Amino acid sequence: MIGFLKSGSLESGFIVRLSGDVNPETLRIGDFVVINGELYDYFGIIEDLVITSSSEDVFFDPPESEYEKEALKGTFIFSEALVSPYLMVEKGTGSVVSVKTIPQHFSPVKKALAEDFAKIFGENVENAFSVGTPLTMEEPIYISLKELSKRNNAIFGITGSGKTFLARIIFSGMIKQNVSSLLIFDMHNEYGRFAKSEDKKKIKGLKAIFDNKVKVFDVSKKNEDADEFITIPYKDIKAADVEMLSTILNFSDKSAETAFIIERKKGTGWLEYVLSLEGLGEKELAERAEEIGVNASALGALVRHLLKFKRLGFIKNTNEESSVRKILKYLKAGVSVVVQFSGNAASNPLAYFTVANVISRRIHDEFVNMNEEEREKSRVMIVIEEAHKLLSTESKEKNIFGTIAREMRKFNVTLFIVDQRPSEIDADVLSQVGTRFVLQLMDEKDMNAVFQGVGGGAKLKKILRTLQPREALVFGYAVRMPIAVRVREYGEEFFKEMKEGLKIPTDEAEEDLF
Amino acid sequence: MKQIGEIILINFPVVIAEGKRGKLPPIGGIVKTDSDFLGIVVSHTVESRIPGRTAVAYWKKPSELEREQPQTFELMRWLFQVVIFGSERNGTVEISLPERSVEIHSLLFETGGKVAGKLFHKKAFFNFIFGADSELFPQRNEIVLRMLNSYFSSVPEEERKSEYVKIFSNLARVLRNDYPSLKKLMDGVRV
Repeated sequence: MIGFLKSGSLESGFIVRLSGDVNPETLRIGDFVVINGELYDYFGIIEDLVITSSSEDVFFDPPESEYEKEALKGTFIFSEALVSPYLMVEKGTGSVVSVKTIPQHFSPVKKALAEDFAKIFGENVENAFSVGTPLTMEEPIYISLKELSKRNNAIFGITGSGKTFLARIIFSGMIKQNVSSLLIFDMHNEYGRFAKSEDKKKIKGLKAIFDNKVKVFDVSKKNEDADEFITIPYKDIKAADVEMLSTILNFSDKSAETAFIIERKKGTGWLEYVLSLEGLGEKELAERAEEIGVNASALGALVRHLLKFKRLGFIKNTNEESSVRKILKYLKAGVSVVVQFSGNAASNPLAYFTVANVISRRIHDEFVNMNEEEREKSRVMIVIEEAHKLLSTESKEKNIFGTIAREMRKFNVTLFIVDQRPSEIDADVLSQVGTRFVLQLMDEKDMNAVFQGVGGGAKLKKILRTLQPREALVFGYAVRMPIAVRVREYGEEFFKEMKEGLKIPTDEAEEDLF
Repeated sequence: MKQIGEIILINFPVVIAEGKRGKLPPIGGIVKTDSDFLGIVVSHTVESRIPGRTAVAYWKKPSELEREQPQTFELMRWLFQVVIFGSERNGTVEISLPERSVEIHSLLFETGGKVAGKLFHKKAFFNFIFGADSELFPQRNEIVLRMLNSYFSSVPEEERKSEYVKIFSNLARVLRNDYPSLKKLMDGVRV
């Protein structure tokens, strides 16, 4: 027992008077505690810790020896914990509901034990998967991957906070349990076959763990680990892609408008047409502009912008089938796809956002037009990094991701956002995020953004401030109540667990797909 | 148990006992009646056995006077005042006044550190002392301090600090609104 319930309310939280023999240094914000009421056990999180005294006199003539201090503990000097209650478990039936009543004075309070964690974060959820342990204990915390797959989700955290490690762990669980096919737009090549940790050590990616359950695509042939390479024919690029890029890459609005006009006139051949104007003199370009009914200088700017597409190498004037079709087949067959960006596309926003938008748009179209029966069999989660560039208030209407975030849940397509600037993501989009994994954040705006619209957000923010690297605050549909976790190790033991009982599709089975 | 007095006057819960010259129990000492009641010695009085007579000054040392005029001492009596607060039966101490007064002529015995230790571990004991009328306990803090120091001197050195924490935790709860008094006790106890 750590103390007893002294006062409080459902709104402001419970104040727990800590026993004199409890060293407050052994407790930390985010710890999970249980208040044993008469009818219910109340589960809550330590939101704040306070040391205080019953009399200011103590400080005018303070105790001198350690044993004098010890004798004053619990009376003149004492500690209190502010606990936010979340759930209550009925004694006897064990039914779990969100907290609605308040325990009585002096109800004993204890730190949660293994069996308490098991009641709330145990394996008794659909597609249970352990992402870590409580901050000061070793019990596994399970989340429901099933719930996770039903809605958009997000991992937020600054560089070095452990976003990618946590993402790999969650994605591994989803792949192992066949909960959802993942389409990961892997901007920094961290999820494929191998990746490098921050200390430059080679670490396994998803492909290395799951073999044929994961396919690695790259836009560049320089990636020797890739299973396949991406080619996007000109006809698959739409004027809308240019519009999307206009905010991300600071193209002028005129460029997008011009692209739309040309697309209306030239149809799917619009990009080929624009790129054919490369090298024309001013007079000839003006003539073409007049022909097509656009401003000559805007047309010139558009040509210059779109030449960047051509230079990427994987956007080609070709009639060959786009790799997108293949990606779709894999996803529908339950195989996850990691799209990587090597060579001159490495960490190149133009390549990343173009490919992500083009492929995601095709998935959107495909799933919207699927019949109910077919859709039931497939579930796709699209993973995007640097999402704030795609989902800001200015850009969310100009690309497919805003639509996916808002409308695609019913079509079994959801987003998984991995980002470090949540404050730059549109509030409407954030409100559609079902489960959030929040690692260290430093910027006040970002902290406020992740808790926007979340009940008790201000309290959770206090917990967030105390997180260390590789620790995350998890809240939303995949967990019964918010919990701060120490993310589990992504190492040999984890890989072994992921491979246990794994059914990897054979090459023959794969051939049947195509 | 060593006999140290006999009750000769009762104004319950205060009793007055007659003791022997040079052998009165110390102020703050815990005494026990032959019917198991416990009390605290709160004052000493020396007076003439003859009502109305008061001693006169002889300007000699007590030892000289005793040698030259032993009747001077034989005419005096040595009294001590005790406040009854509870009982000890079968090794268990209780802090509550008996329903009826103790009997006149009850004998009083001294108790050891063991009984004091049991009392100091009970918050009720300190509640009784600090909650009682101040007339019952003149110089209350001094009495408590003497009791504590007497007790700690009987505790083995290696146990003193843990014993200190236990006893002063109880005292802190009783004196929760009077830190200066508590601190004086803390400062006065030799551990």
